[in-house]
Amino acid sequence: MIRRRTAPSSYAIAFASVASGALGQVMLKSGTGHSTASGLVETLARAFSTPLVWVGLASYAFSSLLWLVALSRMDLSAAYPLGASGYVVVAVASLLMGETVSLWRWIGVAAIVAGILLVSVGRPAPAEDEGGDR
Amino acid sequence: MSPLPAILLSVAMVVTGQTLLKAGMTRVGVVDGERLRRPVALVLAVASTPAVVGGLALYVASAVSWIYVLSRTELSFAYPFLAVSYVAVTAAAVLGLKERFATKQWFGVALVVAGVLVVALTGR
Repeated sequence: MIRRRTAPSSYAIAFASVASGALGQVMLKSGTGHSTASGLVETLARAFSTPLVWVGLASYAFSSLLWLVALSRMDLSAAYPLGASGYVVVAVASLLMGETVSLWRWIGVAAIVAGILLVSVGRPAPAEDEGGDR
Repeated sequence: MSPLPAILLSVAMVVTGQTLLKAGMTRVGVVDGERLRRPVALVLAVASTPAVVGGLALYVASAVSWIYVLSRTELSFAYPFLAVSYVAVTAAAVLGLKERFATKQWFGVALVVAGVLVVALTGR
């Protein structure tokens, strides 16, 4: 795998993708609430008649579009640390929405973030690479 | 009904979708200011790349599945499961692309798995 130097603008695009993705999750969750509908069809019908769900989907789509652009400019592994921050942002947002985030859930999120950072930081330099690019 | 099957289905579709998108966009090439100034040509290039179209279709399917999940669970419970994608992408890189992998990275993957399991054990 050939490593490329990543431009600051690429990081900005990836960060914007993470932010609008997290915002989309919050809106989707706010829009669906905790459904009392029993069936799959009824649940989805209710969700799709809620404007906030559509706004959430738009935000999610925008996030995916930005991700597409970011991926075309940087290696997937270079985007990992930014992706990891999304888990913390969503957990904090859930808390602000009134969910009870237990200590164990925080521990789980912390382990996930630490794990993702280890995966991206621990990458071995390719043998033919001069290795001094980051 | 447990939301777990729907959560795992959503994650599987996201992972497959993202892998296809990455493969497809590599084919399309770098999207820079130059190409953004010619949006029609860019959209045509993207739309004529099957991997990108398939990846986007899987994204749409996963979004619908995800809405069902969110109507049944707390966001702080469901969202961390998306981290499984890092494990899947890593496995694909090692097994499929024969990328080299450091011990430190295996610890990272193990930590992600442990974190997701811990969240899974916190209930819905």
